[in-house]
Amino acid sequence: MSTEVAAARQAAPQDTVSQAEATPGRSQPYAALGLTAAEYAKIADLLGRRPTDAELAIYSVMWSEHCSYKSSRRHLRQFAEKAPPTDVLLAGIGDNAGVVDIGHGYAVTFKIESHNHPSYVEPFQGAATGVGGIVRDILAMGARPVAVMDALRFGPADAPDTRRVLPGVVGGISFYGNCLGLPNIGGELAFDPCYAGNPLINALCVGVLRPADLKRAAATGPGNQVILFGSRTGPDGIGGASVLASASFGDGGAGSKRPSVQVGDPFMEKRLVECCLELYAADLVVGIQDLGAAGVACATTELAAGGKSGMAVALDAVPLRDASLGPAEILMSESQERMMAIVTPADVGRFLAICARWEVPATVIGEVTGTGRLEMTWHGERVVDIPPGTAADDGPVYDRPVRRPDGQDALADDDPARLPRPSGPARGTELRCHPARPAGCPGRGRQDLGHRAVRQVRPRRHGARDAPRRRRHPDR
Amino acid sequence: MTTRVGVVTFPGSLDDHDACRAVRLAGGLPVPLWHADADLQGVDAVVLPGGFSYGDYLRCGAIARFSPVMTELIPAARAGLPVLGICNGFQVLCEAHLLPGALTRNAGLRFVTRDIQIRVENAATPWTSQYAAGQELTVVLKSGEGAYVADAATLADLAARGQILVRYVGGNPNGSASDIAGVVNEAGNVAGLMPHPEHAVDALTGPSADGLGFFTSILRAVVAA
Repeated sequence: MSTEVAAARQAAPQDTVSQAEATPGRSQPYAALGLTAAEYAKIADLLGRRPTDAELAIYSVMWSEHCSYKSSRRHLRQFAEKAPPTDVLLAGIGDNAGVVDIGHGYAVTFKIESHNHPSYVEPFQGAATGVGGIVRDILAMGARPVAVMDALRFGPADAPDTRRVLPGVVGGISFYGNCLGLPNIGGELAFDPCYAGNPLINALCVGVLRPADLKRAAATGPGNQVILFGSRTGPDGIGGASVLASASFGDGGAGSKRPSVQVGDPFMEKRLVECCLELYAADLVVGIQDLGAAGVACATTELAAGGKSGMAVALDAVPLRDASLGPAEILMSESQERMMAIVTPADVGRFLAICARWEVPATVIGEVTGTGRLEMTWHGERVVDIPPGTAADDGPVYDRPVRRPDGQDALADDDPARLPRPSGPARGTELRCHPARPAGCPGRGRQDLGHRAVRQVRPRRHGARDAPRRRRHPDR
Repeated sequence: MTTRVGVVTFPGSLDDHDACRAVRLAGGLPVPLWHADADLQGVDAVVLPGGFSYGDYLRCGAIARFSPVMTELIPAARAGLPVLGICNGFQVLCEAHLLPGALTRNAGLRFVTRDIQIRVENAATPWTSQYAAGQELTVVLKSGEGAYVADAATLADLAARGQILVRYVGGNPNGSASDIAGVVNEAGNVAGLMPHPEHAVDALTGPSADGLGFFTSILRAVVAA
């Protein structure tokens, strides 16, 4: 796209709050964004008017299954409700990652997350950015990420589709983790026809922190500054926002050709990790959130809702990789390697200096307010004005019909004792290996096993009797 | 006085922390050096650690070689300052022409991580004096571009002058010429290793403590000098 076209797109009039008030009947592509008519009506009800395009972008991603867990929330909630009371769980459900006090002045934080669909579409980058995302979740808790693990499920090992997806997934995970110096301390791999066309790609990251260094995703203190730092925002992972762009500009043009899977830059992530840890050590961070799914939309709404405050953001201040992006696309972009921090005005100078030292771009894009509303402008025009909690916490929750699977009783009654016992010691090892690579399991030996005095439990070899003996050395 | 060993952090360095720890365990004082500062802070020796300096997006070590700290390090190394490059650090030293040859993609074209055996071929350098010639060590190898290459004449010269510091034994993991795992310059003060001795400094966290000798060697050499 030429710079003239980009400039024209950026300068094009956007759907503002006052326009939304003036044109209540304008049709909006809510269905193409994944919202039902009832959900769209609920948004209008919450706002007392139709949403602007930018607001619609926010609600569509924040109320998506991916971000709001609207179908699984009532089931997942049981983990919080039924958990026995404990004082070692420093952070749990609702936070970026769980944090457990392990004594001796240390806490560990860990989280596992899937990146299934992106990895199926583009195995290498999908899996790589799955690692990148989970590492930033750990980083956002105030911890140093120290290790990763993965749990993978694919369709039949000899299926053409498995052969397409598996090498890229293994390559992406090892590439990203290796570049960050994070040892892959274990994992599992299984093949089953039920995963054909729908592989499960789960990555886990572990971090270590002092309990006092625990960070929260909360924007508090009116007047505090909102700083977006890390990679510049590009058109990757925009997905549905192109619907709005196309609707606004009447053609699919550039939008239709944009990648829907994000592209990772582990070198930026490594600098971001070290930069954040230095910022934490200097005590310059009031609140922090990583940018993952739903990017700026998610980070701003969750920080504002978490702090029970308001926030004013100038979306045109967001540094862009693609100058043609409009407000809705900026809100929805899933560009990787970005974080958002809340910083007191007095600390902004030192904050930006540390970012500059690590060559991490950082920009003040707004400030915390006491209004209780999330307000965003685009070249001076108000394009978002919502109560942040309505997007972050008050999404729809569905009680979907549930039914016991037909085969469940048979499965429960099936006694594994009836199965024949393996006759040779090597059998289990053979089964874990991919037939396409008889010399060894895919992924084995490709991932960094040791760094920062963190070592994996040794991989088992044929007939080997290596007892697990490597443990993290508490030297940091 | 405690020997001060500088450990350079480039953006993308990963093993700077472990290199500092190895120096400390050997009895030295690690001094963090920053890539953007053309200042060696008067250290007695320097370690260039492993990692992916500047992302290694152009060619491993190719950008780091031009960093401000290297503008000080290159003439200092030519004047005799002991320098050890490990993995990415080895690649940086080759790119800087402080060591002969180059590191290229592994023969199998894949990243290799495992504990390997290396044999000390020259125990008469400042970085290996605490080993015996022929001593075998267990250390970690973890690299994607670790295949050492040089032309035939250079390889012959390296062998003739004792510049082959360590060799892989029990199998060549990456296709390195002459099984070379590490080399030293003609003067003996600049060494490059593809495997990671800094990850093998105690039995708890490494495959052995065999790697500590490189660090105790240099401390002894500096004190004796």
